[in-house]
Amino acid sequence: MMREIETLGQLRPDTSGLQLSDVWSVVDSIAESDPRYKVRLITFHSGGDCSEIFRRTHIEGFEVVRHDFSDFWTFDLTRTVSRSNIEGGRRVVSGSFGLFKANSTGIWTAFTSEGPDFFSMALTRFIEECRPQISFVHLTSDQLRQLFERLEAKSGCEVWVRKAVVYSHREEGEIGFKKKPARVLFNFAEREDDYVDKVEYVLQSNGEATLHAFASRDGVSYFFGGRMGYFTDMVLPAFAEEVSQSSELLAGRQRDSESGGLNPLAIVYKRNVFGRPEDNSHLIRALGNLDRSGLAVLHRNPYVHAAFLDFVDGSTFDIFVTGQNRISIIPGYQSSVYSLERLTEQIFKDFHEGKVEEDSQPSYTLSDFLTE
Amino acid sequence: MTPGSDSDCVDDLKRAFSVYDQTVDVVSCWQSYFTWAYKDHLTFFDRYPEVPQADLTPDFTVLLGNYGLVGEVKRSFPREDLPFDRTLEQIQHYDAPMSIKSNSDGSRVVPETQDIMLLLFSPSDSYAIARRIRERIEDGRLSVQNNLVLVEAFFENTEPRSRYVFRKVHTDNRPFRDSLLPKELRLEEVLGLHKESIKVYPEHFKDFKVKEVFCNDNPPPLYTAVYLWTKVFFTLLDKEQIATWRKGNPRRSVPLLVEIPSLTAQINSAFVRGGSVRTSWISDALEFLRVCDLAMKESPGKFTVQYHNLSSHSYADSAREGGSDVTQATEEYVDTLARRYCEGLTKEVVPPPPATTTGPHQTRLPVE
Repeated sequence: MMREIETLGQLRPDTSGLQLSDVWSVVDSIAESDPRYKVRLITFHSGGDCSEIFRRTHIEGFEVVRHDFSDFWTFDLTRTVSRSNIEGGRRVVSGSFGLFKANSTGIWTAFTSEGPDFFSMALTRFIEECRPQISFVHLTSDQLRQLFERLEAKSGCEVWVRKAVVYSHREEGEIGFKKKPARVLFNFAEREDDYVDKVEYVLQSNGEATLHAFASRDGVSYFFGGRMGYFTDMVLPAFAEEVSQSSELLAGRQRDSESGGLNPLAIVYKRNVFGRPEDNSHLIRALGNLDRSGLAVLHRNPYVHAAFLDFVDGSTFDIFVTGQNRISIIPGYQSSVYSLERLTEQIFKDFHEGKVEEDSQPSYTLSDFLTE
Repeated sequence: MTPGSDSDCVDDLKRAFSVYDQTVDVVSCWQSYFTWAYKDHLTFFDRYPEVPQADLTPDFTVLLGNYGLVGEVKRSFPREDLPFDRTLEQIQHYDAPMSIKSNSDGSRVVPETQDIMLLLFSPSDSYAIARRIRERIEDGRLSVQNNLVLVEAFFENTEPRSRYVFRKVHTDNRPFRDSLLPKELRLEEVLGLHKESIKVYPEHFKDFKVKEVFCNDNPPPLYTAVYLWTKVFFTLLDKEQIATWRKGNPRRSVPLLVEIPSLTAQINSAFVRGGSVRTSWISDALEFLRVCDLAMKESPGKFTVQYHNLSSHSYADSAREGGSDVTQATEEYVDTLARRYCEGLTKEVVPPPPATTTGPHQTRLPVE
């Protein structure tokens, strides 16, 4: 059972009617008294009722038991890792986590105050194994910037970066970034054409920290301390809203099985990213490096046409470079949010970050074919 | 021989792939042009025309009311007179009044006026070809009742966007006889009188290319094999096979039994809708995969494909458990399959080539 529920149980034996707000109150009070206390959260997209998916999905090596509460669920999760290179051949990781649905469509958050081993080896891996029904979400540097700007506007506080990890699109290795206002971090990344991966930050008002937290572009957040209300009322809903919009755009893009109609997407860049032949090669290399996928390059230069197949769920995409600042993604008869998240994030990380948009339905006239 | 070291073999296969892909592009360009620019006048664009009584397969036909256009794409013309004349003989077959498809149900009409558009793709000497054709018409060696109109086609790498360009050859050529069309839509008005060119960008034709995939020429087996591997085979797997893959190593092979007639029918009904993918194309592709050591012939028309991810990049069990992206030279299927095929060839017992062949692979390599 989760530590927070146990604490609440000491106050009221019947915990079945507990609400999420009760849990956050306990988190607030434990965080105040225990400096080592940390809540780890992961936000993701689910194509259905995630609490049911977690309960019903049988995954080898995982055992899960669900407990129902008023507006959230908790799960006891045990993972048995069997591997020859582990002492004794097996290792058991167990703990508990909570789950709630955001107000934004399709977005869920799992949270736990267990240690990092449980979070990464058990919880995150369990969620990952529920693919492709469940998909990790991703925020671009620009979306992270907007998130912090909204947080500043709403709270009247300033976001200061304590530590950040920034990556170059092309070179190996991370760039550390310490103790600067958030806007300085994002300006730096934009200027250097880097992407922001992780940010540990504090929300400051008159020099006093009101929230100490962490956010990463792949949906992981940590609450280190401060007022949980800022986190639950401002950070998480804003995050959920942002990723919900992105995920909804990626949903239902498969070709119409009746008519064969296409539902293309576009990645649009503010500047020209395809000016030289090596830019095409750079994109192709980025696509070819995605694990569990296959790539066929039908046309390499001067325009790119590649066929991409995701071996996780069979999603297929035709990818065209249709302009100096535009990539067109045309999903095939199988397409999932999971796979499109994977594909676009791979392009954003290994090529350049852009914005995913609906690719407008084409309509051309004679003059479009005659104009110089 | 080092696996895949026969670079001539690999290059030949990839060149044939590229030539076919560009022909698909060119046909898609014209389909896009007529579909969009002539939307109120286009009766039907047939991408897979067949004229059964004459066994003719031009690259496309267009019916615009009572005006018909037969399109033929030519990558090259022989320099020597005899083969040059033979090439013209093939085109001359399109000269008879030809029934052209008027809708997707297969109805046909013989239009009042019909022209033949010969698309010379990336020739260095299209004006010389036009002159030689005119000479043959003038001295009676070539008789063409319908117009034979020559149009140059080439890919132009321009800023900011590259594009296909189509331009009428302006000397030694004939006019399009499309006066039945509104003036602004007449090809003769646009390409002839005003000497304009038609520019088609990837964004114009990409949807047609994705939907149609092929053109009316026999594809190189490598082209069809890549299509089957990236778009079709995965959909034939059952849930258990897919689930096993999702969790385990995606390079593990999954045996997939395919029958050529049913696979062809499935592609024409569910993938390339209304397409005319021939059983011979699928058969050639499966035979190609057999040489690649990726398929086994069980009986006539039946193959077991050993389906898996052909990319050898390692995969992360979980990126969040310390797995990471793998950065190495990009592997892609066109190259991988070409190499596997050439490697497979060296393992096969190759019968001695007939006396007329000129190269070691001629009996096996796909010919465009």
